[in-house]
Amino acid sequence: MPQKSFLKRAVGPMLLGSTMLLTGAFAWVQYSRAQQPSTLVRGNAPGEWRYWGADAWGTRYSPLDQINAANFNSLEVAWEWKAGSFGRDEYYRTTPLFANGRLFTVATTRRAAMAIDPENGETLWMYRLEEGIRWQKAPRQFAGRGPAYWTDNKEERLVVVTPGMHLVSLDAKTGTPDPKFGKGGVVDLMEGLGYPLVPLAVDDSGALIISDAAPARKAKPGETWNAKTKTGADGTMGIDPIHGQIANSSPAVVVGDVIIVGNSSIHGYYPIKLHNMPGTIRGFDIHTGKQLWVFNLIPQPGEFGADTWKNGSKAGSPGVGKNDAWAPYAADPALGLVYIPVGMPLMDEYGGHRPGDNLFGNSLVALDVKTGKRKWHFQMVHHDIWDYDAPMQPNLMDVTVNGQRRQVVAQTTKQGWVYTFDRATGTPIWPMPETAVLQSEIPNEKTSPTQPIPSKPAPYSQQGLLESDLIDYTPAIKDSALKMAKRCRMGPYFIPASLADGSLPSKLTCSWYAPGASGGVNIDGGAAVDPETGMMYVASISGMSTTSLQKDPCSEFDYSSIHDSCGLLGALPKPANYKPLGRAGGFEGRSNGTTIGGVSIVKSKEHGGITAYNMNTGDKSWWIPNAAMIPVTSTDPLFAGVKLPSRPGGGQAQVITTKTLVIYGTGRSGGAPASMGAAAAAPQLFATDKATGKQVGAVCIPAKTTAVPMTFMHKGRQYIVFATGQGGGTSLVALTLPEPPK
Amino acid sequence: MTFPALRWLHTFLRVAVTLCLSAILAPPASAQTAGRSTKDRVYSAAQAAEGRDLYDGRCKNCHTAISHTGPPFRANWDKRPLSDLWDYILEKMPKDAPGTLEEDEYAKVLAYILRMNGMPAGTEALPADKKLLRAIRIDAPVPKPSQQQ
Repeated sequence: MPQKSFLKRAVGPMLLGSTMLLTGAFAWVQYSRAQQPSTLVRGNAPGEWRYWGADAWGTRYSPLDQINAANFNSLEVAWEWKAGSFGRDEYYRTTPLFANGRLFTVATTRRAAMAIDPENGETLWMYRLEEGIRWQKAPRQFAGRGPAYWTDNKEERLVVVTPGMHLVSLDAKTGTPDPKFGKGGVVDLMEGLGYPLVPLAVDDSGALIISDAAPARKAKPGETWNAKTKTGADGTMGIDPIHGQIANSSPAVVVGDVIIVGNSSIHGYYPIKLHNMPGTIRGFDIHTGKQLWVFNLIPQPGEFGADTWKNGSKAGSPGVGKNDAWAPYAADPALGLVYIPVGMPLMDEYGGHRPGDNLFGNSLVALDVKTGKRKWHFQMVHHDIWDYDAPMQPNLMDVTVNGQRRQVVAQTTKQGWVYTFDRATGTPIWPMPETAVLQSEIPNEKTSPTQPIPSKPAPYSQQGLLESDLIDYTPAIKDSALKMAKRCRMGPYFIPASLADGSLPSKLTCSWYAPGASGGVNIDGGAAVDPETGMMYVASISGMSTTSLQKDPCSEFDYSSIHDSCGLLGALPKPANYKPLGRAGGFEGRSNGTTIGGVSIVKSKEHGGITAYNMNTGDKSWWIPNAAMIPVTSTDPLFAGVKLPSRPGGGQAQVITTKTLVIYGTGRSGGAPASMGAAAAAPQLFATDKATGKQVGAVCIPAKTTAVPMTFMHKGRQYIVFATGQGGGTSLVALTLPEPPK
Repeated sequence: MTFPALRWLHTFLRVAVTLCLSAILAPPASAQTAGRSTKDRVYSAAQAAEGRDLYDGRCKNCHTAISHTGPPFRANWDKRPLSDLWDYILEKMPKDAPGTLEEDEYAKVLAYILRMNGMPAGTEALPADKKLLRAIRIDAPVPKPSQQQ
């Protein structure tokens, strides 16, 4: 075959080469703008953290392994971003996001949004919305759990739900509000619920009081703002606070082109008014901000489940309110379903005003992302009187149960069980039989005769109080513990409250309460799951408290936790013969104590801390305390000569998992006490082998974690970033290895 | 005696008589209320500032300031020794994790509660010491009209 000339021979490869170069350049440009959809796993780009829980499934899992057991202890602070420079907060409970080379967060009581350079902690942009009275009287005036992210690989958005209930869509590159979304990038979430907006006014310059006292109100005609006293009408429009309040604590979740948003409420333990706004879930179009659908978490007359409200469920009626889904939501983009963990109905400890099961309170509800229609639901607590809101994002997993591949969703709870369902159909994976439970003796309280109780996995917290739970190291110790235990109503779980005045047939003035309102799992804890192994790592607390109810003389409720609202703005007027109730909080001297000589009357068990379950079998795999076991000593002569067992450290641990590690922070209430020495008590981030729970690393950090951490890869380096601090001292801290590995 | 001297003597005697009368007519100080008052600059501003951050992080998600000021504070704590309030928060608070603050942190929060109730700050930090706190009486302020109905 005759040889072609060099040029002729070169042209082909040159053309091919140039094409490849151009294609490569084009692909690089595409990559640097956004990941291709085909590389998304559970909605997240591997190595990124695009959702509050890492991915749409809420796994809190990252496949990264640059940080591992061999080098964890060499982690150092790469940078610290001072959120406090932008304003104050409560404790900083935000988990930031990482997407396409940028770190995103919210911060301060204003929930301002920021983009941060992950390499050096520089602020790239900031956005802040002025909300007037709607911020001043926001029931949840804090940064909250974080923002949400969306991309179609062309555009990127950061979505924020503000404390004053505005839905904001920002260009993720610049922080500029999307002009095509709502009005100048903002959708008013007080619209679209069927309430007219009215001008708002305030009579005091403070925040909403922890009940529903000192709310804003509808402005009087012609009312203006008094800049000196900071009262009056400032031009802000909103839903008339006579209906109650809605709030926001958690990010929206974006699935496909739909933003799914719910609401929180004011705290439920000392409400004054017998009604509040019902919770809803809504879908909005990410491009236009148009409201696509509404799902009522309190079914309205004619809707499925309305008959579980025996006094009626119409919004505004006495006894109706809340069922707010305040925790983050998880979703299965392939199934097109979003999973909503729902809080409880109105009034945390008493439900005489709302007889019935009160759907969809304390339920896991699966909604169709596009239509908002209910696919299935499961109510975990009927007619809740224990403040057992579903407190946490559920976790999605694919596991093999009894030889069958199952798509599951697992809900961690305050009451101490994981409830596991087929996430397509809602069928329990392991039976949860309706089980007879103790009934309330309180007048007009009709407790549910049964509650569903998961048969697997085993509980992770102390539940109820039985004689077998008591310390019994000597007969005298057992005697004293039993005497204290019998003062209050005992039982295995779901113990109804007693009346403080001793007027019940049992004459008891208190009931044992475990888990309490703080869980179990609650706000700051929750689970990480491993999609490779089917393991679930549940961080929780375990404790013991008591509960007593009494009539609050200045609230509309028959009973509540012992509280006196008299004198507060918005409370009922003092009744005739009013006498102050005395010390607030139900602290009736020592009679409702749970300790003797500083020692808990409950035997220490492997509860709280981090419990690892194999969700292929539902069996417990291992358990570790949060940070440390704490030595217990007492000077009480009752314990003379007795070697008391250590107790697990408290506080909700904040856990994520990676290819080989479970990584956790102690949370703001956790960590060894100072009495165990400075080294033990220093704030630390821990790493354990995820198969065995054995600790493989512990690094000192500037301050305790105050939110779930996150991890990502940026320019070839893996970072772990977490929030710390409170008040004016909040920060994001970034850890990384000392040098990029060769 | 010169006129100014007479004036001085008159004033002295008047003051002395007033003081003596006060001493005679004042109610006998009980063991609980003897000693200092929370109005006597018993905490430091720096301590209360740190207490504010702790309060915001560990207390505010359950309480707003109203729980510890105005009519509720007065009704529950007025005229009690400060050690009573110390005992209460040490054992029972934060409600979601009772007893988990260090003692100096409880003292800071207590200082902030006093600041919230308008007590004046001084130069000395409030001691994290029950015995010393027992000698301080809580004098809760009379609530302002806007705090009452």
